[in-house]
Amino acid sequence: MTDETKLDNELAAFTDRLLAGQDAQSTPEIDALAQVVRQFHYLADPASGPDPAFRDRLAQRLDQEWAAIQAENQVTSVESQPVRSDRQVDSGLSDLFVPRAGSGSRRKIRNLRRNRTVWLTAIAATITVALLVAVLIDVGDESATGTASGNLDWPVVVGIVVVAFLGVLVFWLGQRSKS
Amino acid sequence: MNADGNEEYLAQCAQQGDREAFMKLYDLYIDKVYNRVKSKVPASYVEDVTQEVFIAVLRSLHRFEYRSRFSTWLYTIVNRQIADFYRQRNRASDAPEVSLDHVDYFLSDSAFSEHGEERALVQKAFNTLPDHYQEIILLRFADGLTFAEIAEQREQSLEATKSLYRRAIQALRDEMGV
Repeated sequence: MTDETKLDNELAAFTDRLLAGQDAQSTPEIDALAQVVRQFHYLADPASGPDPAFRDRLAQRLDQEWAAIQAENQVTSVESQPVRSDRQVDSGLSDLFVPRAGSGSRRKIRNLRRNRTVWLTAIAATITVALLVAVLIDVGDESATGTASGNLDWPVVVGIVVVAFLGVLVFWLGQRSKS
Repeated sequence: MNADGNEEYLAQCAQQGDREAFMKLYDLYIDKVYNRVKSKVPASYVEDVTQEVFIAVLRSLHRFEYRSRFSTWLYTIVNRQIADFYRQRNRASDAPEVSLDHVDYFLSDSAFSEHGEERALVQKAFNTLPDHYQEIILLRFADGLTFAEIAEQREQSLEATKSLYRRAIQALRDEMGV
């Protein structure tokens, strides 16, 4: 056993005894460190936990907060879903916490799928527009210079498409994280 | 089901609207959170900060995604609330920068009138330790885990855990300048 390992074990054993409320005598080798442990123990003695009155007060406060969140969520749910069954309204807090779980999960999945379709369509439309813009730019260049190469500047086109795609993707991810 | 698995299950139930599950989590963690806060903020503010922690947990529970243990996620919120506490104190006193280095403030706090200086110095020194040193000390003191349990949680050997603990205490001593 190395000296350091011995010190590690002694300090750990000393801490165990101190926290167990036993007579915590330290050896001369760890005396300085043991003093620090004693001081920290004085600061953060785990035996002196929260006051029972505070525990109850906080439990009550959390109860109120829970109810407030539930009420808030019910209002939001009713506003966003004008036609809902009673069962769905009752699951308000569940909808807030886990959109994928609970009684409204099928509706949520349907909405998500619909959103995906909308966004995929938007991405496709953006790419098409970007391609059209690229073609128009290319035609414009040809008219200006009088050349008739007939070839698109493909690196530019690919660049525009990639930038457009990334832009839409970033926007989409931003929207998802907001929701 | 082990204790940790049980906590994740309770979190899942709470996410689905089970208030009792949330209150069970509260019962499981109130002491640990309180002790962690007590180690880092002046005594007269411990209850306020603890309350803010649990309200923050309640309000952001839907964001817990099981990528880590529930306790890890919860302690991140504890640290954030403690940082917010000091940030607000800094703002109130027009301090130029955000820092946990507040010994003067501690010393002026009435809650520290008895043995105040010593507590303030220990707390100040503790707050300046690197996170991994703070964490191992808190796991033993605030969470009440044995060294064997800490080793298991950190997925390291018992020897390595005890060694890290000694280095953390040594670092605390260095910071205290004793």
